[in-house]
Amino acid sequence: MLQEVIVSNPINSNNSNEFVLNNSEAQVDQNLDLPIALRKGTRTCTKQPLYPLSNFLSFENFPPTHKTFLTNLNSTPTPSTVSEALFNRKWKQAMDVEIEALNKNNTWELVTLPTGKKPVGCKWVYTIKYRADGTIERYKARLVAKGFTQTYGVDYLETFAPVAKMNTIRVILSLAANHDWDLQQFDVKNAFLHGELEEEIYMDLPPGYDGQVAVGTVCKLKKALYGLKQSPRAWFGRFTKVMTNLGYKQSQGDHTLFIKHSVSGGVTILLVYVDDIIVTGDDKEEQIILSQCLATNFEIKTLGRLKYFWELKWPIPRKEFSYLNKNILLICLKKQGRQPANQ
Amino acid sequence: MLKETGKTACKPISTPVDPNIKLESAEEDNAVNKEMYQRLVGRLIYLSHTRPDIAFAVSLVSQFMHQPREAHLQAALRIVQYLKGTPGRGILFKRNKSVALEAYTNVDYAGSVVDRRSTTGYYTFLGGNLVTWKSKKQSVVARSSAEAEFRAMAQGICELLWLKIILEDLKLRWDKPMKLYCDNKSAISIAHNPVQHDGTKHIEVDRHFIKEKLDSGLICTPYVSTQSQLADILTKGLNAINFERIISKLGMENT
Repeated sequence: MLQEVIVSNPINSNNSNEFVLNNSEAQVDQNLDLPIALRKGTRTCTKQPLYPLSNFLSFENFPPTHKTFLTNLNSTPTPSTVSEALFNRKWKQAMDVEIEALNKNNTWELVTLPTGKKPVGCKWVYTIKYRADGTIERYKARLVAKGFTQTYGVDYLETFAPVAKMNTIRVILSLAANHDWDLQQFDVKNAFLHGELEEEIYMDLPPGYDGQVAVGTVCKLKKALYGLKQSPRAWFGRFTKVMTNLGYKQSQGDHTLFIKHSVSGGVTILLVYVDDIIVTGDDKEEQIILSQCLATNFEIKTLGRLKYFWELKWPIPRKEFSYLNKNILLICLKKQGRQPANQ
Repeated sequence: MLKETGKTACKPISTPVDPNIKLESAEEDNAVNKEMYQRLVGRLIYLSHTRPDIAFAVSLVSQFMHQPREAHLQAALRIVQYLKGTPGRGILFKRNKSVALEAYTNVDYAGSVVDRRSTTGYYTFLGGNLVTWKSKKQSVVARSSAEAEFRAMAQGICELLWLKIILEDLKLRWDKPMKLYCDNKSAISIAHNPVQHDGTKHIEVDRHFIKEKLDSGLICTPYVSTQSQLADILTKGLNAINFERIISKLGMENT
């Protein structure tokens, strides 16, 4: 504005000062309620750090899809209560899918609560599943039991379930590297839901689905649910049973290691870490049979050649493979909602 | 982790432990935020699953979880600083076409200033690849370095036996004796010597255990000089040159 004035009236150029003064007065009038000391601007660090993190940690080795995945995490909010979720059609749909799957799995039957029994509570947990390129794959709702309301001796007894030792994992990796074995990875979908319960457990009706039945009706659980104290144990027991039926021998050195020696002299090794499975060995046929058998017994996701196990491994397409922890660092940072600075 | 400790712009350090500092309980020092300290050390413990290079440093700082002081926090932050310089370091599993079992054991005699207990450290290698390791303060006070070494050897043997069980399950034969490298000559000679020494009465169980395994030809105990002792890194803070030398021998590589 000031410039315009000057350009159009070159003769009045000495008036421009006056004009500016008036203008600023008008501004002050508008903002009378501001504090006297005006903010001068946010302070910034003038000096660059001497040792920026980018010198040491870089995303360069990640494929571009993985980079976008890392940056896209945590961008969509998830509901924290049922009432919030019921407003959104996507979440409602996800809950319907979960209930349907549980019914199909024959997880519970509806009964009236016997006197003297206490039902376990349950709640919904919502998560968003991402594809490798960072776009949203699906909205997932999971019904979890409030295991903390269970009492020892009443509705649970033993809870211990073994997981693969880090040492065993390294032994298997070392052997696979030395013998040039192929490492296959599988993931069991809804692993805990496969476990069969021995104890008698009653659970409240899932929130959002408790309208249609009479008061006092509860679910009597037949299969394990996420959140129950004995779920991991029930799942591992079931898995062991299936593996022994397939003719695999449980190793005494580590109970999560299953081994089968075929007639041809080949060996197949299976290592299970809760729902993550590694299969290796020099018997290709047996491996194919095994993956088919697992698929008929459980719902299996075949992840192909080993990439990550326990969020740890970073493969390099060579005969040798390294076992790095860069991913751990990144995942640690992610979990805290903190990305490495300068990235 | 770097950001949480406010160390994003720190200068990286070449070793995780200062070789000249012995951590003590430091009662008179300023107390630090316990929760923060425990969270930090917890993360480091998780990280040490894949990083034998920080195993000793982490075992040191985790001894003071119950009452962290300023000096301990500084030690923990030093590990973070070290990690910053080497974020991509990891074990590389190479193809050596063997299933040789080897172990290196070492102790730091009376290394703890607090209670003068010794620190055990061992590495086991399977087919030339590092598979297991441990750095742990012993549960009892040892009266001589040989005695401390003995305990470490017994533990190393246990680990080797476990590996052997796994391999036998897989029907992988390894008939030669497993090598247990040890840098204490007196411990080796006591292990071989069947004569009952008065001075080793109190460690009889470990002694007989090692003797039995030696006699059955399961293990052998070659001597290694302190120079080529790889397990040094698990029992004491080393200077940068030695540290790097051992790290490269362990098969740890940067990417």
